[in-house]
Amino acid sequence: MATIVTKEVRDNPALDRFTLENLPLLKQLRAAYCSTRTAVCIERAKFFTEYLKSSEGSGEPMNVRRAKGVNHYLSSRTPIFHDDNIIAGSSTSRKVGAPVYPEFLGLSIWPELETMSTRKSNPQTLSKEDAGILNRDVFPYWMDRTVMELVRKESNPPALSLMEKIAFFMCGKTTVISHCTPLYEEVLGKGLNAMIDAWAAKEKEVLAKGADPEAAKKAEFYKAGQIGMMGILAYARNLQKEAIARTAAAPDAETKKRFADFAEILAQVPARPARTFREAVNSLWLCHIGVLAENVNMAMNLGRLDQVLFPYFEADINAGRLTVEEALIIMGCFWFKVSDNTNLVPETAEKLFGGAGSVPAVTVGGVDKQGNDAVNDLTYIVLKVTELLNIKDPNVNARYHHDVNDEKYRDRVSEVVMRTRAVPAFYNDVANIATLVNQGVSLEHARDYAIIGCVELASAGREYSSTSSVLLNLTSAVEMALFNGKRPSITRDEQIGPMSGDAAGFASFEEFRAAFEIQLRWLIDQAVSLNELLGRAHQRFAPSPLMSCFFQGPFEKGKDLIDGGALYNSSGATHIGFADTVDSLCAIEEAVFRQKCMTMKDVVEAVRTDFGAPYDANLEFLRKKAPKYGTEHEVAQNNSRALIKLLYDLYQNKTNYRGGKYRPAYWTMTNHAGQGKICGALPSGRRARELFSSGITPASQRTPELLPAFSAVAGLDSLKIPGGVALNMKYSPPMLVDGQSDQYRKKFSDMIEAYFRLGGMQVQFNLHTYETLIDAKNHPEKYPDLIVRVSGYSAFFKDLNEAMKDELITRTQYDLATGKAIMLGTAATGK
Amino acid sequence: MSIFSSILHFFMRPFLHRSLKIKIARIKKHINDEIADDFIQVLLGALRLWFKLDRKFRENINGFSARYVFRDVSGEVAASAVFSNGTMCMKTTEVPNATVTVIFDEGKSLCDFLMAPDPNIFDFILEGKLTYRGNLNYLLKLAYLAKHLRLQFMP
Repeated sequence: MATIVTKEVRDNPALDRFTLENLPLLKQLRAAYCSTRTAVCIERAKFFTEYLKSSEGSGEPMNVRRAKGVNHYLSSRTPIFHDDNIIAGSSTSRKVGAPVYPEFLGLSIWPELETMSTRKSNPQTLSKEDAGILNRDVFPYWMDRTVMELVRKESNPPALSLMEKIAFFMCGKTTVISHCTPLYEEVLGKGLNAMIDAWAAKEKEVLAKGADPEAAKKAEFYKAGQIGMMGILAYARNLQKEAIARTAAAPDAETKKRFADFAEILAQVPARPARTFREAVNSLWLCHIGVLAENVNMAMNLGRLDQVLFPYFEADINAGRLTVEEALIIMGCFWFKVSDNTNLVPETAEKLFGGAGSVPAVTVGGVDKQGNDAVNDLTYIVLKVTELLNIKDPNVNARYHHDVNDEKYRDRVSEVVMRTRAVPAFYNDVANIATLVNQGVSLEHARDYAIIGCVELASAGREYSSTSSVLLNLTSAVEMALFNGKRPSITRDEQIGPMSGDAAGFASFEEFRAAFEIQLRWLIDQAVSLNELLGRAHQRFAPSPLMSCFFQGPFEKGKDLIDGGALYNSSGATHIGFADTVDSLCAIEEAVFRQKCMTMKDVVEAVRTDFGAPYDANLEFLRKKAPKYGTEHEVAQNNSRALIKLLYDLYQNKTNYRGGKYRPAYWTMTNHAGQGKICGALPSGRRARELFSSGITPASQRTPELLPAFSAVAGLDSLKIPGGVALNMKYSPPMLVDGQSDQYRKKFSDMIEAYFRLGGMQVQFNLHTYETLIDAKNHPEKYPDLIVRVSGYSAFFKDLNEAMKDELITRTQYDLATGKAIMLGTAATGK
Repeated sequence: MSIFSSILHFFMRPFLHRSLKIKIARIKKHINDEIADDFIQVLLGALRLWFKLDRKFRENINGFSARYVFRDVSGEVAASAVFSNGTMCMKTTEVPNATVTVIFDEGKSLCDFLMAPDPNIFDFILEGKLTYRGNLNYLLKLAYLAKHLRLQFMP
């Protein structure tokens, strides 16, 4: 049973009496946020580089140098109170800042330093002065020191050249160390002072045991952790000083009280244990700022906030120190803090990642470590804040256990999706916990999973799962199997993969499948080998001692996260073009070998010529009549399930540099659109440059009915998808009027219940019509804050690149009442 | 700089300015033309002159050491540039130990990439117009210098 301690939430979980109108601070902050343009923040790059330069050749170990660099930045940065937000601290110097991390891909904005403020797509403001600092003082130092160039210099692996061809795979480690979920429970309860003392004691303890290199290494790690944590304290102290100064200079009593409150809170946290809910939220935020000071702000997640913060909320409520309204305001303010940073987007990334944010995930609901209902007042408060603010970050995810959580909670999540038309995403606790347990995670820890970034699963604060290790375009293997290891649509006549046979001469589907497997295995080997090299480069050049302080394992083992310090280790490998690949396999099996209505040679030539004459005659069959993933067709079911099994087996056989397994996943961010725009035709009848389907979602406009689509996805063995999935469904929107709205919600909830009971892992929605999205594309000014689900995260529709907008428009729209698809042509033409 | 070379430089300035102006005019022509075979020589020449003439721009190469090779897909070298000790020299032959080798299908592609208002290297790579071997960051720096030149003289 849910733990509800306030009468207000018990009586009305939707907290209907609260609107932005009667929460003016949140209204004001939202208006400011929506009208603020992103600006590049160079503070971290400047101070971090300054320290690294000064300590070059000092002989200090890299983890200590990096920790000192982070400490230098946190101690030196300007303490700012940007607005009336009641949570202190900002992750950048800008209102909404895009920080530069030069050790990864920060240098990619170099050619644009003077123009990125004014570029057409996704401009990010950068002052002339800051551009000069980057060009003169920061970037030159890193030219030979970025992670990618260090790997190139050391081993120049062929896999790196393959990755640089863009359309085969990408390895996230070139751009980030992130995609994980720190756990702030300990710091809220004990405070950083106590943690620093504990780390110092450990340092002494290992040194006392002996002076062997292993002990020295551990001692360095403990020292680096302390230095990092001290950086957070220094930043908090500077903020406190600023708050005191602003209190003294305050023009009125209200302002004076506001800053006096800040000064009092900052005197307590994060150095000491949080005493109140507000202090707990502020402490968590300041520690998260520290984590972002060390590592890239991409999918650095906040975990199960309703669980971590509940003790503070409950204590305040019981003591009469807090009301639900105040809690809503605190959480709302925190949402804007989390949204105060976004990723740096160079022009080059716009095509593949345009519109993506920094995707910090928040997880609520589900079960607790003992398997009991974890839903509490804060779960509903987070849902209310999500509904009221309806902004892209944080990425809110609702866990649901159909045997434990009550329907009231499920229906409330459905209602929030209906009202926001997009968020949150739903996760099936039953399937996801079993999946993690199958990966060796203890049941207790698996039950305490939180979402990473888009949709990835990991036990919060215990797993370093580096979920963006590999992003592999599965359709590459299809094309390479058709062309004997070449990929004419991308690399013309170059022999890329192994020679797997002349596909035109294949006499059975099994022969083609074998060729596909050869190419797939080879591509995975390439991607994994590069990920391993990059991971080892991280170990040498980018240790993360500060982030390690907020995980279970590193303290006990005396080992950095990136050295395998976490309790559980894994690497995530996600896949682009799953539906398109399955549909291609189905098309070949059905058209060539079952119905024999065309030959393998026809298929090869049709793909080579992008269905040019005379092969255009094949298009109709391949596109419309061949079996499709997302239907109940036996061929489609067999091929989709076999591909899931194949990928699982290929990855799970590999052990990463931290001793963990590779975990296949199916989420695509915006890559399915970007990759689709650059890839050639496929046997599925997909023409060259058409967009791929997102995540694990069936191909757009190919699945006429909703139930079979859900059933096909749920039929995939979730134990073999340990990395997680993104299933994107689009429904006609509800009429938000009494009666109809309830009916819609019931159907909406029932469909999720059925899908989860069949074994589905995750689902997210867009409740928009084709017409709305087409209009939003044509008239962005009419839809300034239209939120959509992309493939695992939310975005403002106006910020997405053209390809991604088109992909969202063309996603199959289902009528929830009839369960039938409304096809795009019909809707657009009105016929 | 010795007194002699300072005096020489002083008297040479008008000539260098005129040469730079000519080269800028040729770059402008290349941007608008369909063919730009000698674009990279002209661009490197312009950069070299501007480094000589503008102390602030020259700061970009203080302490900068790099070897660039530009060649077409057939292997024919169009130009090389060597940066060392705050100077830049240009060659028409391949220099050894290139920091980065830029390979292009035709001079016009290189011109389009380096002179584009919003250069997107992905597009050029995907279209088979441009690729590189070696350290990408050096290519990014060159793209910055080229763009700075464009913004300065061809706003």
